[in-house]
Amino acid sequence: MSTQYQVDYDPTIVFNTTDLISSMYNIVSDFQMDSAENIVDAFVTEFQFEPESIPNRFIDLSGSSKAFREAVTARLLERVETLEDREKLLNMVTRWVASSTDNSSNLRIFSEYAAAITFALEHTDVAVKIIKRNKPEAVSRSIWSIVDAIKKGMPGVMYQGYVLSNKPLALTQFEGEKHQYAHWF
Amino acid sequence: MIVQTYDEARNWLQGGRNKNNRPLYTIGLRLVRLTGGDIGVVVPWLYHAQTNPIVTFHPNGQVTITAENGLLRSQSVRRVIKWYGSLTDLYQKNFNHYIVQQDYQTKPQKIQRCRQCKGSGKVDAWCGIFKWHTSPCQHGETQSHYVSQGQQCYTCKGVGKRDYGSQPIAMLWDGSPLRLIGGNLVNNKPTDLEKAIAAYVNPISS
Repeated sequence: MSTQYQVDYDPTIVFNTTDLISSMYNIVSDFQMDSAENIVDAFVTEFQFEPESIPNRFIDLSGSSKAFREAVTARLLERVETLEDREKLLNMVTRWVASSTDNSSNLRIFSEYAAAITFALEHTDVAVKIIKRNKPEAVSRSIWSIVDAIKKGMPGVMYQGYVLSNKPLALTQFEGEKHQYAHWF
Repeated sequence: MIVQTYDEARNWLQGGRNKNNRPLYTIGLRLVRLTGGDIGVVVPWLYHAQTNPIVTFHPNGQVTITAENGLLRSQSVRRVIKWYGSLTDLYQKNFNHYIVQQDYQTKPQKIQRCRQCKGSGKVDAWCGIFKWHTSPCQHGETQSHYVSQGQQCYTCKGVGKRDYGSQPIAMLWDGSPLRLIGGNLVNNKPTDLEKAIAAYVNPISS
């Protein structure tokens, strides 16, 4: 079943970068004022509106703030209610990885999302494939922690539980550090 | 001119005739204002240098260092990143590259017998301090000669033991963008989620 998710580089997949953020959530001017939860929600909602695009500064924020990445991962997993949602999410994150060239910084950032989500949704084989696309010296601590979880035989559901229960803490941390990124918006 | 913070970089740009691009007068480097308020150190002889700075100063005080596509193989690029990124060291070993942060940790001490003097605290010496052909030296010789274990060991300073550990702990780096603040990695601490996973214990299987 997992063979449908291709994570190898595919040059035909190109994502557009959309301006932040859809008219529904105007956080461009209110980044510092808005709560961390709303900001994370705005990014996650954007994926639903524009599945073939990545919001501007999403990659920068994900690369700079671990708390942001963990909160977005948890929010994406929270939104999965039906099998269709699950398929859409898995497709989206694996396409992110497939769109990234080897050794690029995008690959590292997308792999962090994709490995966590595929592992949490019980697609360990896909998670392993995603991790294997990264060079050992370029792998971040969060990917090593997924490798650790796989090695210890942690069930994906339990990992998902950890990610979801960590969301309030991640949001609090992002709230505290978001002023550092306000100059981007 | 070596700039290591955003404020220093901004002041240097302000002092020039062109407020967006000024030479640093150091091995041909230039300081360039980038979009979003960032300021970058560019190496002009690199391809697409103006849009791909190897060191970028951000207004929030952070610094991004980048050396992708094999740039780290250049000794000059490594030296520029070390200078402007406030790193303690950036070196290559066995075709891999390593960075040593500003507040680096060290490996455990390894006190061993001095490898130079084999623990005696003294090494063989050359005696030539006497009046030539007029009076013998303290060893009774009138010509220069070796003296077995005649001087204090220059490696262990006569102690006979030396610390062969305590080397700085370096981090393997492939040149992908890294965020630093004050020469130290940003966000290098494990998050609570990572700590929770690290604390997870594999259930005993039957």
